Amino acid sequence: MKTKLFLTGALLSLVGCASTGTPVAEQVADAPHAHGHPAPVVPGQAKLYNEALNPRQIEHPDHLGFNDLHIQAIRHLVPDTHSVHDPKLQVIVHHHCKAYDDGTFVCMMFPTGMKDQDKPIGFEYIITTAQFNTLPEAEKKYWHYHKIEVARAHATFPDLTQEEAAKILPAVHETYGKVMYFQKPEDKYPLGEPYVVIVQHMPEQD
Amino acid sequence: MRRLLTFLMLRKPKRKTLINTPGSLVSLSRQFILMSVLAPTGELLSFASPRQLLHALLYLLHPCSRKESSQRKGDPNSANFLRFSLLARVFEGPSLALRKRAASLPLPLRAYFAKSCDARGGITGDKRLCLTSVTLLIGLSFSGGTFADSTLGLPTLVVPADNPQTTEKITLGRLLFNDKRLSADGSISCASCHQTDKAFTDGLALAKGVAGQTGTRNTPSVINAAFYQTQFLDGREQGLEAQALGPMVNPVEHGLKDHQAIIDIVRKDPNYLSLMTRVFNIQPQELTTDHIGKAIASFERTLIAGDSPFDRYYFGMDQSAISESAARGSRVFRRKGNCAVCHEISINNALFTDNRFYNIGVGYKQLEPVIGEWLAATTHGEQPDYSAWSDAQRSELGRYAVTKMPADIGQFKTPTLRNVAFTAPYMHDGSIKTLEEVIEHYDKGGENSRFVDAKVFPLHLTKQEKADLLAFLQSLTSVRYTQPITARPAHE
Repeated sequence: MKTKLFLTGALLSLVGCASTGTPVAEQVADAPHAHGHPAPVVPGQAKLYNEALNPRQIEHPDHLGFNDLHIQAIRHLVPDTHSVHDPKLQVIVHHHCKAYDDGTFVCMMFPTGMKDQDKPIGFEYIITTAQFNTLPEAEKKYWHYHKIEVARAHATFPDLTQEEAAKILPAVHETYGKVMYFQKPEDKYPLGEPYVVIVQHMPEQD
Repeated sequence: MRRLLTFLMLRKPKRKTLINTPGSLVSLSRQFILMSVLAPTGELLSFASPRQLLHALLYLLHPCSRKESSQRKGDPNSANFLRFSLLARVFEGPSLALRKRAASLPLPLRAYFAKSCDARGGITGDKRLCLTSVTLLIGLSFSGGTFADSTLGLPTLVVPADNPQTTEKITLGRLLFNDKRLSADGSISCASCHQTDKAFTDGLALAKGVAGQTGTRNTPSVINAAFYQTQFLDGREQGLEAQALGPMVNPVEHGLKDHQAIIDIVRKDPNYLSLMTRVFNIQPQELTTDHIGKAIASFERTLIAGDSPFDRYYFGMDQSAISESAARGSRVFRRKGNCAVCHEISINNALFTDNRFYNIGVGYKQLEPVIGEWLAATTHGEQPDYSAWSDAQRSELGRYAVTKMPADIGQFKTPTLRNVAFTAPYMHDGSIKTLEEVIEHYDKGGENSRFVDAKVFPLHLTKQEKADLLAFLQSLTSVRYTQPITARPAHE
């Protein structure tokens, strides 16, 4: 319980710092914008939401909630070849994670950056070590231990300074993750069956 | 041709290069250098040195002749020729031509063909054909590495449906791209700033236009611009077609008065008129700037370059393609350096841009004197007064000038890093001269300002990591652009 609270507290406090760290929004007013009218179309700027389905662009507060933590890691895709140099082993998979009160995380997995039109191909479910220890033995092989795998996956936190990352790393280390994809990254649609990636079995990478 | 054949046939080769022994198979393949031959099937093949190619073809020709005579005699072994159908199809064209040519050779040479197999003894014509085919196939596979895919590492190019690529349109676009008449004083073409020997940039901090005027932005490269989702550093245009016309009517670039001036210039040239009407299937009076933009865009869509040493290393899985230092640098780029967050490497291609806009802490000093007043106005919903602003200050607004969203102040598009070693100086204002200085800029977290993107912060790179990162950036140079490419000049 204490571990859960510590973990959640550490990560949420970091989230709190991150969310107020934006250098721009606090200082300036929103751009002049007539309420009730859709935002003007600007070349290259993504519309926020579908104009037919959400004409007044209403935002539910947690719609974009997968912004608590951003992790990038390699060795999270199944390679196409048996070569240890297969590029898929080096592809950065972006984890965009939401933190829950029970100490778990659910991370949307993106094989590219999380831009407007980038789609997730699956998710990584993250649980604490204590929660992992309650799992059936047969289930445990699907989960990877972050204390070992964070280094092996050369995982980094792109939105954190080195100092900030160093603060949360101990808590992240004491978690386990299970990666489940519903789509292969090269497919246009989710074809075939969903699959689990046994991250710890991926070949070592520099 | 007859004399050449005679000379080559009678000249003793220095070694038994053509496949009389297994050892020579290896020696022949090792000697393979790139020489492109267009096969009748349309494939571009890489081959041996010219003399070895000729030997191979002539020996192939001989079995073909024997095959014909065998067929006439009803020899079932003539089917052997067809067993090597891959090369048979490939060589069908030239071998037929050679057969005809051989048939017209003087008698001694025809006799050579007839006797050569027997004279060399042992290996029959069909086996020789087999060995020839195997050797050539081995050569193809060996030479495959040298005949590389110039688009390695690039995504599929998307061509707009309303502007399909045609050879004539591309030629027309190239002419327009290089035409200095498309400027107010006849001194500036697109190629004036987008120079072929500088990876389609100009080597200057800020672009220079008509009457020697200096602009406010660094010239971006046109190479691979076809893959950008928006054009210009502030993304104010969506496609290449629209972008092409903008500089022509910019008073500090080409300086033409308006779009009509562009049309008038093109209409005065009968060659252009003829090309335009043919390419777009229009009447001369139907010519618009839309056609001109499309032609230039079509040419620009040919300016694509992948196949850098890094591409061969990463996508081609060739570990020897880059140095150890560059390989380490690629890891710094993707991890500690945080570079790949914006300069994206995707699963099967790498544009080195995410097509988004960021303020990375360059050029803020220009805005410092005026930003306070500007913020006060926008906070109160008032229109800021730009009358006292310099051109440079207005330019520094960046993406804000397009979106009118204050959060976008000073944001500029993530440029591709392909061929970055050739595109100095750097940043939207050309203020950073070398790649070493660029690395230092990011390592210290950019110039401090309230508008700098949260993704930019001090990296604490070691000296070795910086050197490795530099080596990696230098490995992004496409093979195609290591040598200056001279664009064919249009009217001078």
